[in-house]
Amino acid sequence: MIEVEALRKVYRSPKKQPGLAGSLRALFHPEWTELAAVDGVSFTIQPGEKVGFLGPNGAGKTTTLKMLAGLLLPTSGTIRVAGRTPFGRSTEHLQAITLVMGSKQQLRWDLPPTETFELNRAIFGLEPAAFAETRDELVALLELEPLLNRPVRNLSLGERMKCELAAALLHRPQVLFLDEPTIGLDVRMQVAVRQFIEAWNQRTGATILLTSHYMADIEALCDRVIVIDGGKLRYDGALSALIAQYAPDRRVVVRTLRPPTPAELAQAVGFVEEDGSLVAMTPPEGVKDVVGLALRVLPVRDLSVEETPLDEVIRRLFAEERPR
Amino acid sequence: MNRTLGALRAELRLAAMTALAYRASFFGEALLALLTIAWTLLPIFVLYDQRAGIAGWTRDEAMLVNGCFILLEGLMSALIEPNLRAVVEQVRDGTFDFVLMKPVDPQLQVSVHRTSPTRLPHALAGLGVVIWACLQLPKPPELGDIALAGLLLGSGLLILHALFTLVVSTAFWFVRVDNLSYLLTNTLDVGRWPLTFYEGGLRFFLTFVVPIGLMTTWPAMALRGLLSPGEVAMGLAVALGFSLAGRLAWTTALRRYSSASS
Amino acid sequence: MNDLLRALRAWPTLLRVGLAEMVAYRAELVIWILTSTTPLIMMVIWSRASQDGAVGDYDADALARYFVATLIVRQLTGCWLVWEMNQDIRTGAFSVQLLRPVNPLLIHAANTLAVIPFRVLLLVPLVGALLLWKPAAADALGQVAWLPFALSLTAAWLINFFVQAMMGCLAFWWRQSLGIFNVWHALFLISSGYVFPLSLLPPGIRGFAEASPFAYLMSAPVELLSGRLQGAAAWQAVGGGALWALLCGVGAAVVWRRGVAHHEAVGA
Repeated sequence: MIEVEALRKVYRSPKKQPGLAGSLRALFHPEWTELAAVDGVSFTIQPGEKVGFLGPNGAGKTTTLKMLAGLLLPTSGTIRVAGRTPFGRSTEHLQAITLVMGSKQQLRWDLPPTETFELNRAIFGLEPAAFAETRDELVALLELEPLLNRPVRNLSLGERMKCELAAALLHRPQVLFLDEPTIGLDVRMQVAVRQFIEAWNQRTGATILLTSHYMADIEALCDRVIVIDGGKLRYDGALSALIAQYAPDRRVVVRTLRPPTPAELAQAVGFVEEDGSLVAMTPPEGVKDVVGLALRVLPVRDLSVEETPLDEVIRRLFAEERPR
Repeated sequence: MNRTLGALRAELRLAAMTALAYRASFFGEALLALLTIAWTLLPIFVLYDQRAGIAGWTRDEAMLVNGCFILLEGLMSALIEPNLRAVVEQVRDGTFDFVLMKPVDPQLQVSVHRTSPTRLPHALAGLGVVIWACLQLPKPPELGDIALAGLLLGSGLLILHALFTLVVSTAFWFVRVDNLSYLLTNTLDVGRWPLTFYEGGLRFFLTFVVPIGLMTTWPAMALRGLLSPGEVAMGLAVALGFSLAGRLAWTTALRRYSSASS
Repeated sequence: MNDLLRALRAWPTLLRVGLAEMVAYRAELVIWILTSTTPLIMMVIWSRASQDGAVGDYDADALARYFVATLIVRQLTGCWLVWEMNQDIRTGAFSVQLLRPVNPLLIHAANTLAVIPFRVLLLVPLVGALLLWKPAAADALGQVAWLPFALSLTAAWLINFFVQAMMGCLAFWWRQSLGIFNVWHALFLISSGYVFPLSLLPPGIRGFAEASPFAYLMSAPVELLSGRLQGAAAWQAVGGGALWALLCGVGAAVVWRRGVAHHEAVGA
């Protein structure tokens, strides 16, 4: 569905010196720096896949997304989305994709969402019957019924985001580009959005490309992640494999009934004190032994086995690439 | 094609609804229309207080030009200004991407998406002035003359659209050009007066380079029965030329926006 | 008192930052400054009209002088506060500004004043070109009462600023106050002397104009700069301007306080 080969995007931006003298100098002699926002990225995504796009700010995620959507012309390399070149924004390409940006909206501010839905119906030339069916489906899935006739400006951020998603999917695109769709939303709404995206993918088989800073989004939705940093591809593969490679260890966290005695601590090999709990790291195979040890020598009140947080996984991935 | 027309119709409908959502503006606009007549026509009365004619135009004939100007200005502020000014804001806050993601030509979209019918009272006021002035003329205009004048006003609108497009296209280069549109509307003020009021290089400039004279003086001349169909055809050709130039500027700007050309 | 002192101390920095901002947006700046083309157009029109004879008590040279003065006064007293306030209130940026320990209006004032050097920069070649075209316009320079002019100009700036502040504040209640400002602007065009000297107006309208702040926004400083007001008349013009500046200042303070209170009550 999506094929990217040796993609590059180079930007020129003006150099500005601080201070008034610098500003005046920039007025008469502007200087430029070149920056490769995307530098030789390649990947292939199959129909129906849900892929997470990870990376720090300025890594090149949004630039790549914009090139995939057709908003930006790549400096070099090839892109095919649903068999077409995105740039040029042909009608067929635009009918096949949709772009949702968490921090921006296409809904008309002063009018109810239904009006924007109607507008999109006309813009995409949707048949009334098919449109009604899709719209009703989206309204049901997103629970939009009470929101439909209120002006968008009167809706909360979360409510707006749900309506935004509906407006973006009325034309049943094959590919969804989601740029930080849950940004600024409360936890409950984040979960709702994730569940919706999952449901939509199941129903329509749409391919999903998602960028997010919330690891919970990625964990919940994506089986595969593509990690970009400094414009370069750092990792492309199953999320589980990423975790296994960079943070296979489990954390065993023990909370005790009372502070443990020095003798007990000496016996609890591998456990260190952390925020009032005792924590030990162990590869998956060793969990059984460590848990057994803890239960034998410590006055355990509460015990849990955790995976390394995804944030930590990513951090390790990047740390590996950084020169020491 | 059908889809595009349907899309444009839908955009206009939404624009009208948005405009009507602000009730207060509407009455302010009507009041403003009346005041506009006053402030526009007062100078003419003052100017012609002790003279019958200036540069070949009597007071009532100069009123024709003024009326055409107000009419055009009203149409411009309803149909052109708000639409293209919105583009500048969209480019700045990043929502212009949504325009590009719709399968309708972006220039068409932005030409109608914020149409503001609340400004139409202005145009009506202008029309009123034109009609009044026509009635004062020694020889009232014939149907053919009125048709020619209408054509010229239409091509004037096309030229204005092109000028605005040219101006807004620069928004893709200079990030903050909020009020280029104000500059344009202020410059167009020269169109209040008959072209012959201006002399030499300025008149040439206003006839051929930025044909504001064409937009207001020529329709008035048509109503006075002074223009031939050939000259009107020339006016239409100029409008067409400007539209093409506007389109070119727009597509160049879009290429720049997508850094297809840096 | 502390607030005022703090504001005064911040003033040089505010001016400097305003200046740097203006330099950063050089294209926009030139455009803003060029938007006042009306005096130029009026000069051409009136020059054509007065070719056959004087208009009222203004001959061709006097008209040229008048409109060069109009251009200068317009440039030096112009500000775009009402647009900025409308935008800030609409986008919510205003709420952020309220959280700073300096009154937002002071910041706007600093930004407006910071542009004046640029306006002067653009005025010099423009006025120079106009004087080449109509040398007689400079004839009356020797007769200009400079101190009254400077004071009248300051009053005009203050009146414009305070009125725009009041209009901008209306956006607290009406969400958008540019409509009413356009009405004000239309009245300004008729009765301030911007488009033609006030003495050419029919008596009724002239009376209204001269009793209103409009006359002091444009006509008073312009008449002073063209050397038509001397001695007692000059100081009368200054007095009228100062009075209106004071009234508008009080009005602005009241409307501002009410507006901010409303904003706090209703929310951004």
